[in-house]
Amino acid sequence: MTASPPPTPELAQLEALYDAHNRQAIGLAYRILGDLGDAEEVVQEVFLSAWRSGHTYDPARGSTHTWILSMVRNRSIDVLRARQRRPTQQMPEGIDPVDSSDVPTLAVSNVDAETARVAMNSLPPEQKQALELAYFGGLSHSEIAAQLAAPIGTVKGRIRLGLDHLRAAMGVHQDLLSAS
Amino acid sequence: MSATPVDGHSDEFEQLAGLAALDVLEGDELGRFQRHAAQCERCQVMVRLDREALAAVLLVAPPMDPSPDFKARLMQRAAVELAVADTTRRGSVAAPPTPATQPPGPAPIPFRPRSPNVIPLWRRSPWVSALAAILVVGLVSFGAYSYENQPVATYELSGSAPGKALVIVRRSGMAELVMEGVPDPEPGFLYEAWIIPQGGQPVAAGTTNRGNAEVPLPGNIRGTTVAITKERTRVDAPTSAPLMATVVQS
Repeated sequence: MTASPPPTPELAQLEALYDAHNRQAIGLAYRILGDLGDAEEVVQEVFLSAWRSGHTYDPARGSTHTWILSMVRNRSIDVLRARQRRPTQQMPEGIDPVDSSDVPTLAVSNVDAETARVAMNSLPPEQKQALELAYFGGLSHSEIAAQLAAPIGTVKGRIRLGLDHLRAAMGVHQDLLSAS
Repeated sequence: MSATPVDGHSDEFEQLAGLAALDVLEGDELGRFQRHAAQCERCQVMVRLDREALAAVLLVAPPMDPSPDFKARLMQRAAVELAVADTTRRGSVAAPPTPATQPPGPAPIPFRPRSPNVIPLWRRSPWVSALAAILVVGLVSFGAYSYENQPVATYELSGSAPGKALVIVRRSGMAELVMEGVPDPEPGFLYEAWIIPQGGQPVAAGTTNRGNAEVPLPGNIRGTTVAITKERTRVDAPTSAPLMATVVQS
């Protein structure tokens, strides 16, 4: 039997990154885009981008997994919005957008996939649906309202309550918001 | 210690904070929240904590296998990038340093070795070399892709909807649903494809809001039933009876 030559160190890094995260990355992109071809295109760009900039990423700041998945989510939403010809919204000043640079500091370090699923499934169905349409569908609250045939104020309220429940279920520390 | 809200803070701004965390705030509300949040510590903290919780939602999507050749395509593209970078690097290496001391007298005529009469085009410059490498890789990839992409089986879906829908299975095992002449769904609806394993639950396989569309079908579909339903939004389990369906042979 002839052993194939080992990949170069650079390619070995990419391969390790891919092997560790590809199934979750594809699953997430497919969940958002509903199209395997588009999902693979997004995930390929994310892995190559992460691989090219890997030396600038500090794993001590957070989970590589979350970092990769955040990039997959952001790019997938961009593709989704491009399909609908809707520009990406500008974020308020002083509030950084979720991107590859600040995701590590946002990572919930002690939450695994099962905990996250249990937390999502513990939400009342109407709150879960509104959150999923926004987070995985990239829909605005007015688009969600149109799709669900519900008043905009109702949708806003469901999203707010859903996020409050989610924070509690995920164990995100709430003390900063406990009193006002 | 809690984050202090600014004067004028209200529940409405907390709702907008949630939308901001989701990156879906738009229009006038975006500007209004932007101005408020710049002063309101509570809203800034709320957006940050909401995003922290949402980061974990990234894990909720079920893992999924990519196409069988996806990893090879990714590694090949990376290898080409490395080759181009390497060639470019070697092409820009500086000339060796000249000796520190020059012999006296007139400057010697620089010696240039005679060039061979014929230089292969691909060796004339790093860029040509890189392009040649890409071309070769591309041709080989295209050949392999064309072979793997050949259809080996086609199944027509039958049902109540007008138009035609086919499942095309390719040599690589990849498959797609092709819809032709099916009426576009009414506004607010879409078509959703399903893969139903024998004795199993339907698995969502993709959506389209057009009647003429191609929907790649994930995974190995041999021995399953492929069906189409009309839904209001993408759902994880069908809410209506299939419009069309076919059984894919094992």
